[in-house]
Amino acid sequence: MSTGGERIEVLARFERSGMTPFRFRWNSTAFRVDRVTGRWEDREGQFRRCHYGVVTDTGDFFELRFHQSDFSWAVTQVGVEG
Amino acid sequence: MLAMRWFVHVDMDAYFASVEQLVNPALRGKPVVVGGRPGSRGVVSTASYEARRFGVRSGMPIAEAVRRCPHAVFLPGRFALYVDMSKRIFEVLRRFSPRVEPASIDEAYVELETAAPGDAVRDMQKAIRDELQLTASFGVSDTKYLAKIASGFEKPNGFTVMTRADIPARLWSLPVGALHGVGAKTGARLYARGYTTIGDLARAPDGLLERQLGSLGAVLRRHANGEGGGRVVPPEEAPDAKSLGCEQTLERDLFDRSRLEALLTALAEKVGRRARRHGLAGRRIVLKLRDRRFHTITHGRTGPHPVDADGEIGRVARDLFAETRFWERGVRLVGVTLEQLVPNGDGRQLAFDFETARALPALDRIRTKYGEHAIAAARTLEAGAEARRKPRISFSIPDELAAFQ
Repeated sequence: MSTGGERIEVLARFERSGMTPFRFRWNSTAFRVDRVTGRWEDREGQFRRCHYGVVTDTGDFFELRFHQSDFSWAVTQVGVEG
Repeated sequence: MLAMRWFVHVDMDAYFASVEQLVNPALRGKPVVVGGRPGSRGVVSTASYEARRFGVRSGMPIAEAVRRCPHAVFLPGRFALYVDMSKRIFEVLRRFSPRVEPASIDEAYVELETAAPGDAVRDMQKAIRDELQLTASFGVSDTKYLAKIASGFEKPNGFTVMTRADIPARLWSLPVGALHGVGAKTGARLYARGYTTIGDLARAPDGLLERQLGSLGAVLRRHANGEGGGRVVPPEEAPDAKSLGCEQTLERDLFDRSRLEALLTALAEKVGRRARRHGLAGRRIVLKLRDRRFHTITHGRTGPHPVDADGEIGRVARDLFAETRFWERGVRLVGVTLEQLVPNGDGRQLAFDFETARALPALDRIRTKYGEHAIAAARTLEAGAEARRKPRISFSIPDELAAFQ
């Protein structure tokens, strides 16, 4: 299911290999990231957007997006439908 | 055994669908179709093997795929994700050989100097599977062309070695359509002349195929004997582009001339911008049109000077369009291509006026900074959402390599 890019709060870890989200809040529920299944980047104008496919400790799938222009996070996909 | 040169063709299995299943574990084991949502006009880019069991194939209209497999998960596709993964695949391959030639987003040729190609390929296959959790099928041969054919023999996750010595046994009994480059039209021409198998082409008397089919006949005869493809050409050694263009399949057939002209203007802007970014200008502008019955035409014009200005490309494209009167037939696809490219500045037509000459670099900078759709010619607004959809961008290369695209 596409969420249209709903803004969320995310806690991310900064490591040498890059940034990795590990907790986020969506729909008044806190989720812990169990594993990152994919990461990729695209651009919107001069700004980079980092996308993450994550599976949470509840077994749910989310796609999260970090926008470099304002350091904001959004949920872009939830669940199976992509 | 002495080390010798081997060509390996790597073909990722159901690539887009496999990447989607990799990123979203909930999709694993389910039929997945990448190309568009139900109700859209697109065609299937890739179907997972689960969807293929229901008869869904690449190139099939989404509506047909929905009919065959209504319970599949239909996804529009995310090119950035596939490009990113593709780069990682090519990085893995480059660990095995510096001579890696990407043939498309999910295919590559690798040239190896080894006495044991089987071991090397098994290592490559394992590296892709272990590090990226994806599978690929491999073809290994002493010619590049045969390697490509061989990779299709055992899919998915297969591995086939086929040398020129194997051609009579493994290749000649296959139908002519199994040769890469032989589509429905060429296949029909060959059948009409009595060539049904690849062996028929290979055994044709000297000069006969050329007389019947022109230069294509000579190429097919070479391919039927497993020849062709030359060496693997890494990107840094690749020849310069020969043309660049953009095309767009429309969500629905358009009969509205002014909207189509607006769309042509938008495509011309994209082509012009890409030409300037690569420091190129083109002497010939070609319009491509497909009507609702899938009849396709191209119509081009060669100008006295190479051009790279959006306005000039758009003006010629609209003139060509007016000459075709294609809007009366219902347009399904439009495309604009710039050909006969030369480095920007080699006799390039100066921009129409001083203001335009100053405006174009400014427009380019705005789009670089704020995105492709941050600014556009007013006349493109009439094209509506079509002008804001992502067009398919083409970048062609010389004929001798085109056979492998």
